[in-house]
Amino acid sequence: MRRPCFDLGIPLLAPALAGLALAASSPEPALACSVCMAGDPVFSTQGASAQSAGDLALYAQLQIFEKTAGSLEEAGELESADDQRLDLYAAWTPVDRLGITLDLPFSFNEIHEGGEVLRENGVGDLALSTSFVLWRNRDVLPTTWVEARAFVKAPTGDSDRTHGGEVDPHLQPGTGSWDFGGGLAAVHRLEWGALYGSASYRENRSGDFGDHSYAYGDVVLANLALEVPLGHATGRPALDVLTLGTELNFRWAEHDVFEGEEFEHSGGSILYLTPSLRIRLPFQVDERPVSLRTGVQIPLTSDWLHGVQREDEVWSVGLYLPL
Amino acid sequence: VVIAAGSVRAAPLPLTSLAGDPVLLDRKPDECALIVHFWATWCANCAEELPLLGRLAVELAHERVRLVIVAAGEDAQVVRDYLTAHALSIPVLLDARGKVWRKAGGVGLPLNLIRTAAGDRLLAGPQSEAQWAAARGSLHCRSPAAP
Repeated sequence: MRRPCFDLGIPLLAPALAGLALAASSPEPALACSVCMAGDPVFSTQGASAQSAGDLALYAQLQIFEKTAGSLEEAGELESADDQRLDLYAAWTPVDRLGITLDLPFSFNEIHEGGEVLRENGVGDLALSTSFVLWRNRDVLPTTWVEARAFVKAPTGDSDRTHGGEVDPHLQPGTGSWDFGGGLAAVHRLEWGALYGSASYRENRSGDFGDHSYAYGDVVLANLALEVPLGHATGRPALDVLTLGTELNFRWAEHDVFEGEEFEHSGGSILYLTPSLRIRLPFQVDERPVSLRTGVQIPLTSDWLHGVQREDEVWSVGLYLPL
Repeated sequence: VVIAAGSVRAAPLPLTSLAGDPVLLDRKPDECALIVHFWATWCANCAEELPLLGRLAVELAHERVRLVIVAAGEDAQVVRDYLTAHALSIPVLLDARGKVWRKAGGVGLPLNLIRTAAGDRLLAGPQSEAQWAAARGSLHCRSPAAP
């Protein structure tokens, strides 16, 4: 059976480039997590494909984190965080080459510290991302392209909720800061799959947490991904609904800063290996398929993190709904 | 036959000839239908269909249906070279930046935009001879006396 030429599209979807820093720690004692997200939401959302001009899509993604940080010498025990984060992305492609994405996060944070369990839930910080295709090898169904990205996050989430009179930045739904970022991404489509790469820098500014100021360290994110649509790659139409992905997600972060003091146990680098599976569901909206994606970020090592820190696997599941 | 319902897009299609002259393509009042076939020189599946389309264009003319072949996102010289190399003498128009293809709802190639008095619809993907015959039948452009 003959097939139309592969729909390569143009990657105009540009969700948030980086995540919020929401994890375990409190300013006293200094058990700081730095930035606990890695990966590229653009790739998570729809892989190395894209929307056409005029398209609108929603993507809901739930991520589950677990992180331990702290200093045995200073605090007597470690602090751990079990956080979930639900992101609702709305991606719009108003014109060819340009993409705009709004990210509305919901945070469900839980910190275990000194036998105590603290919880906070709520709407997080709203983020706006844009992407623009700088170069592509052709205007119709390009197979290679490079795009620029820009990112801004507003302090819309609460950042001053108290527990026992104390404000713990890592429990807050928001960071209390305006953050900015930018980067580049590139895609190269092959007959049997696609290669994807992106790199970005994010400046995390100091936020207000009640009477305290706290700044998450600036972040560099770099990602490499390989995506293989199984039906297309194997020539078996029965597998058309499945797409395998493998990513390398790298993150480097500066130390967090509390009241002008750097936390030793924050920041550093980490590398994740991220297998994922995208399943095309038997539903379509205007001939665009609804899909489900699940993946897990497996930390290859926590040795590059500063001080005493350990990050566990990050599980994620997301639903892509074109409108 | 995959016939995707497209929105009605009655506006003339701004294209160019291979010589670079602007062409505003639209269904003429005395035509039953206009079929605009978008393709590209690099599209292997499109290439298989081109010789068939050359014959089809001649047959459809008897049914007051005009078939126009449009190279999407291509350079004129590349198209000329391609036609020469493949010994094809079919007339081709250009949609140099792919804007018309994109506006028509193009997400793949080849793509056929079928314009009738009722509006536009899309026929996506490569079509076999039998599939083209079915598509022709669905147009109801053949007069009862036509062969």
